Amino acid sequence: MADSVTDPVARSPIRPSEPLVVAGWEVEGARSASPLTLADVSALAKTLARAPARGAMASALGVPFGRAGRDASGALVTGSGPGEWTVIGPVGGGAAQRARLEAVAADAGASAGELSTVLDLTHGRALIRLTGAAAPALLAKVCAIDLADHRTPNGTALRTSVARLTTDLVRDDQEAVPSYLLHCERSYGQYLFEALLDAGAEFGVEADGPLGRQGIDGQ
Amino acid sequence: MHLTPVTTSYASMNVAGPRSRDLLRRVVSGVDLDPEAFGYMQVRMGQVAGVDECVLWRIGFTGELSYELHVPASFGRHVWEALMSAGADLGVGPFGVEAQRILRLEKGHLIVGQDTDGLTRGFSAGLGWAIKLDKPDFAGKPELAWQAAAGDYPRLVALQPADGSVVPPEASQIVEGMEIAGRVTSSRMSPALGRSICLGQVAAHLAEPGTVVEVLLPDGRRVPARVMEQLAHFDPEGERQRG
Repeated sequence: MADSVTDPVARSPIRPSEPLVVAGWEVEGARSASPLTLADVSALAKTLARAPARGAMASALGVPFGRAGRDASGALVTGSGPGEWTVIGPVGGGAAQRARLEAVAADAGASAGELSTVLDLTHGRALIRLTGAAAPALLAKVCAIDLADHRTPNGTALRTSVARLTTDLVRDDQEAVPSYLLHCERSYGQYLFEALLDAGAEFGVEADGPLGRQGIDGQ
Repeated sequence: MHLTPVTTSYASMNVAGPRSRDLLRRVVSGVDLDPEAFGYMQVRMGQVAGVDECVLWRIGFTGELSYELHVPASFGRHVWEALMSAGADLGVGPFGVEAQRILRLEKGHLIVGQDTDGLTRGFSAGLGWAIKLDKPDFAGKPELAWQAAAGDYPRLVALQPADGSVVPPEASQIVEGMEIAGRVTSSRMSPALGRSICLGQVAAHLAEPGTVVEVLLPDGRRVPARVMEQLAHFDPEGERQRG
């Protein structure tokens, strides 16, 4: 390989206003002190696992359809669809995360004869975190789901329409502050980010870098 | 069976041209690019410009020595810029869909939906080489068997107007007296040949190479065009893409 080739830089589909390269990813360098923030966290590792909804792999993952929770490694396991989980982990951790899930899948296959598949979707999906007390009010403008605490409490995972876009929506509160992860196909990432900024203007939403309170480790 | 779409997971680019292998040698690791080791229509996984888990296809629509690179989408711009930088002294440059369409027409590669339509069946699309009626069964076999037995299906052929400066618009009718006997499905001026070239679907009895058909232009003129020996107007033996 030619010496002139520079170190790879990965780029999210969402354009940063103040680009900064961290851990091989170009990320948003701007910081916000607003009580309502929107952060592009597409750099987080995203791994899809598919298996029978009530089988051995489902038991090993420990998260049923419609719920989200952290596993022993600290990764967020989201039951985003029936028999379908998206596991979200630290930036740069995609290979290790995939290997870990493939081992779980192999065990499930050996013990129960299940068909399961594991796929790294880090580069195929955009991931956005919306955080703040006004987050449910913002989402209510672009999403028909009832986001009241007693209907969609912390740890809820669902697939729905957000700004007319098929989106996985996961409630993952941060230090008791309402927070949502929004997960869509990569090509729609910029659209969804801008749609949420637009919808949140009346609430004072601001773009924040993943170095802010959302953390680049996915926690 | 699980089917998971990964379209958005990859950024895809086509490196095409006689020096494409020279360029890839500068940015690819972990793949033997020698033609004996990585032949036409083969696929490899490797590192491109420092990016792991890239998919390399030695394939292409253009008819040239050509590679498709499918790289993790977040690294698309990095790989693109690395190719442009590493290939500057080789004369690398971006090319768009129109250039690709002309190159593929010179090579006689059809576009499904342009050179075919909703009524086109396998043999009419020139795909008889891929249809194995001696198999016990497959989806669509009865329809194709009937088509083969009847033998009167339209044929996809290459056409060259007698006047090489005339480019019949796509969808121009091919006529026989007052009857419609086919249509031009693709047409362009060929930079490589310096003349107009076409693909078209014609009635079976007009498909023999050397047959001269009449193309009806929008202004009412009828211009002669000759049916060619094969679909490829240029490099019919495929020496460039197999090099």
